[in-house]
Amino acid sequence: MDIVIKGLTKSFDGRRVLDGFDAVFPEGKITCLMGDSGCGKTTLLNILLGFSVPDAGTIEGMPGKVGVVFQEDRLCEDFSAASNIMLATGRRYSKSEIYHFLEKLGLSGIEDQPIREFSGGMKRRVAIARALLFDCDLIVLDEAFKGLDEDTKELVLDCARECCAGKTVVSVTHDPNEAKKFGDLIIRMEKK
Amino acid sequence: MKHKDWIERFLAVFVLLAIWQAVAMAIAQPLLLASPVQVIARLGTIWMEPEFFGAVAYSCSRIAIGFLLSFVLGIVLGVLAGKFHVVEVLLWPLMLAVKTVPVVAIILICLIWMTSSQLTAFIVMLMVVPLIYANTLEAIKSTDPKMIQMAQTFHVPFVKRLIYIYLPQIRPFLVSACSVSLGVSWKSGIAAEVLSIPHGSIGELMHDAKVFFVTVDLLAWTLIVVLLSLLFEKAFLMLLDLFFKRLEKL
Repeated sequence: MDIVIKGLTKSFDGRRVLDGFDAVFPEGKITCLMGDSGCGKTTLLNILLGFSVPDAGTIEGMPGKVGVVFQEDRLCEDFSAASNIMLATGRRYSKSEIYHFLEKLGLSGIEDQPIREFSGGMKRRVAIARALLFDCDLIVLDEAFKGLDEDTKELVLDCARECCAGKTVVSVTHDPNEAKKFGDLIIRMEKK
Repeated sequence: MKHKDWIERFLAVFVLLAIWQAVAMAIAQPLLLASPVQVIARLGTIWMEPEFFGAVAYSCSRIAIGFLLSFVLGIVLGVLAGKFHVVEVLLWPLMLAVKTVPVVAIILICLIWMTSSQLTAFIVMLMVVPLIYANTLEAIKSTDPKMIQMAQTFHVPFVKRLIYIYLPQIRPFLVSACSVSLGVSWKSGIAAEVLSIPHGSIGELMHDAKVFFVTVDLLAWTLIVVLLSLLFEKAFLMLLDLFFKRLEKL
């Protein structure tokens, strides 16, 4: 089912961030959202995820389970990568399956390490893996690939595209090349 | 701790003992103030007395039971208060009363309701619960709301949230609360025993030493209580550390 957004409006302290925003995120497609900073991309995602209530407008076709890569990693620092992912996936995957998947993202030999010992790029990949392995119908990526070096980004984008096949994905990015490579369609948001 | 810190601490203790020895020698009345040398000599013989180990076991067990009960209760109440504001509001006057009413008054009131053998554990519990509760509540309140959002988004069950998000957050608060409250346990527990005089306790022996003016025994028992309190603190904090390390391996 497509996600249909009609007339979405949201203001903060009298400043209108979204003004009657309309969009359709087609089912099973990857939609990339682009636009300047402050144009309302993250506000839109927050409304989609139910963290923020719109002043006006409707969203139809929103599924119950959503896998998210937040702007920050939001990982439990004292625990291993597998523990962090299993926190979301439960017993759907075994530890060895999770580490096998992480190897595809270029992470190996990390079995006994807590997240606090990971570099920024490694944490990012764990956060991406958590969203990709989560049993859901919609994946929301908020600048998920930011901060990854070019080679790693290529690797992760390929893997993400493979995992997202058949799922509805909404991805916020500032990188036009990333949007072209990853997205099936691109929506450009304008600053109000 | 650095090597230099150990030397500094050792010197501080040595200076204090030297002052104590000088004052005791100046007064020259062991009934009023026994010297550290006399107290240390007494420590060498006091453990051979028949009631020693019984008294230590009696007081240790009551204080440990009181502390462990308050540890569990304080965490449970803290988590509940952090999750449900109404619990925090309802507990506020109770916690405030326990924190502000003098421990002696509480002991005397409780003596009306319970036997002296039940009192120690209850008083320890009453004194420690507010400390553990306040620290747990503070930790829960300072949990990153973004992590809570993450847990909601991924439908993480409450028990897992507790293990992966709240417990690591509580850890530093709990360690500092335990460090303080283990000392409080011994202070309040022994105070309760001295006032209620349960048979076969350290408190009873301290009470007897005071009544019969055996100052050297009183000071020796005080030193034993300090040592037991330190031992308890180190052992419990080690167990707590072990628990959190095991948790990280999950």
